[in-house]
Amino acid sequence: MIRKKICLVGAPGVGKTSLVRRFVERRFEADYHSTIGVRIDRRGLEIDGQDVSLIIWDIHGEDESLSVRSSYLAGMAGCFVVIDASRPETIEIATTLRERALAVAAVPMVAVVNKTDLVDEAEVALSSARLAPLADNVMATSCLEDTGVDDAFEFLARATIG
Amino acid sequence: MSDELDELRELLLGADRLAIARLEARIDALEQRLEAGPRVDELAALLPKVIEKRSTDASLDPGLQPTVERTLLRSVEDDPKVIADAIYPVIGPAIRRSIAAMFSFGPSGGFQVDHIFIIEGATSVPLVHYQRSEDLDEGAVEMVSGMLSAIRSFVEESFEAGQLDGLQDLRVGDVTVLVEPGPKAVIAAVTAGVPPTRFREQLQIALEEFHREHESDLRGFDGAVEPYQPFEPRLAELERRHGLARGNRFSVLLLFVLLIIVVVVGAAIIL
Ligand SMILES: Nc1nc2c(ncn2[C@@H]2O[C@H](COP(=O)(O)OP(=O)(O)OP(=O)(O)O)[C@@H](O)[C@H]2O)c(=O)[nH]1
Ligand SMILES: [Mg+2]
Repeated sequence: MIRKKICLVGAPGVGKTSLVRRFVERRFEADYHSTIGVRIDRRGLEIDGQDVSLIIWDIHGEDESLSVRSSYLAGMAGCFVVIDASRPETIEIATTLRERALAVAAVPMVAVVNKTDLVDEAEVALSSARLAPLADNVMATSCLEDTGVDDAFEFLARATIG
Repeated sequence: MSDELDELRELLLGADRLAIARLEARIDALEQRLEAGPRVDELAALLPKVIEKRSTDASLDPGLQPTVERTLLRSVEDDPKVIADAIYPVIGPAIRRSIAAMFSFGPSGGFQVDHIFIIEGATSVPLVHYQRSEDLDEGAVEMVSGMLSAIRSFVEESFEAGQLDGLQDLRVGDVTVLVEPGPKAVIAAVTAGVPPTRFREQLQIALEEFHREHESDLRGFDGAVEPYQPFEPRLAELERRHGLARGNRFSVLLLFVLLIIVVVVGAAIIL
């Protein structure tokens, strides 16, 4: 078995905790509880016959007054940088966080455009295009509709065992 | 796990003293939205009445909660002591109550080792784990290791290096998580009762042996944990040598509750 730590970072409320909840617990919660510090969860996956255990660090949202400490990112094998499709301004924080993450570790990065259910396809495409230069891949997800979430985690897991 | 976290949030957020913070946060948010026009003053005058009227039902709560939670974090950032002082009287007794409920204490002087973890230092991945009874599944072992590492990272940041001896232990009531760091890996033992001094030394020795035996595995560590499993009997032996079973099984739920409380409160205080 291989154990990999991965992190989720992004602005507050973009849906980091919801992505983990969807992936690990297969459910959606409409209530918003802002994450304090970090939540750690895990799920096992089989990738090309290899058992991979993803240990997922769901980190509090970053804004002007509260930044993500690099020590939470230490030792990660991959990173999700998450934005909210209905708030394109969250790309800015995603950009800052991507820099910080890369400074800690040169690991695979996946940009996630979440809450695609709230906007039309053209908006998703626009945000995705803006994120493309920042990450190894951009994936569109909706935790509400359960689209793209498993694909995103699987893609990152695969990238970590590279 | 999220239930305990929700309970903790209730404890943190249920207090009356936060009503004022809620109000201020709400006004701030409104002010920003309206971009400071003459209506702001009008609204501000009305707002306390509106909120008072609404406070008897819960209709404002869902909208306010995230703001309140982040306001709490910010307040902690400005001056951690204010919130720390405010929450410890609430949290301390709650922790003690939950321990009393879940853990019937054995004769004093007994010592029991329930879990020993060796955790990779950089990634916080558990390399090898021993438990006296089958309490934790693999997934739980991974999460506990992660939480212990998150705790270590904010402890380290809040103290000068070199000042850390023994400071990484977590102690709540009768439960102690003894933590000994090494160059590439950390050893952590979840124990109950008073640890004999020799026990900590034995942990250090085991960790040194581990480093010696697995030097090359550790150097090229990529997440594969099979190579470390042959070390488990060595951890079992440590337990047998020192643990005087007291007949009480350590509650896994308690371990999780403790770690979550420490992670959340610790993070809130250090952030
Ligand atoms: N419509 C819709 N809402 C979503 C989606 N994902 C998350 N949400 C909602 O967005 C809000 C914030 O979600 P969280 O997952 O808590 O956000 P977060 O990024 O963890 O927030 P912080 O912990 O504060 O940084 C919640 O009310 C979720 O229900 C989605 O795909 N579609
Ligand atoms: Mg969250």
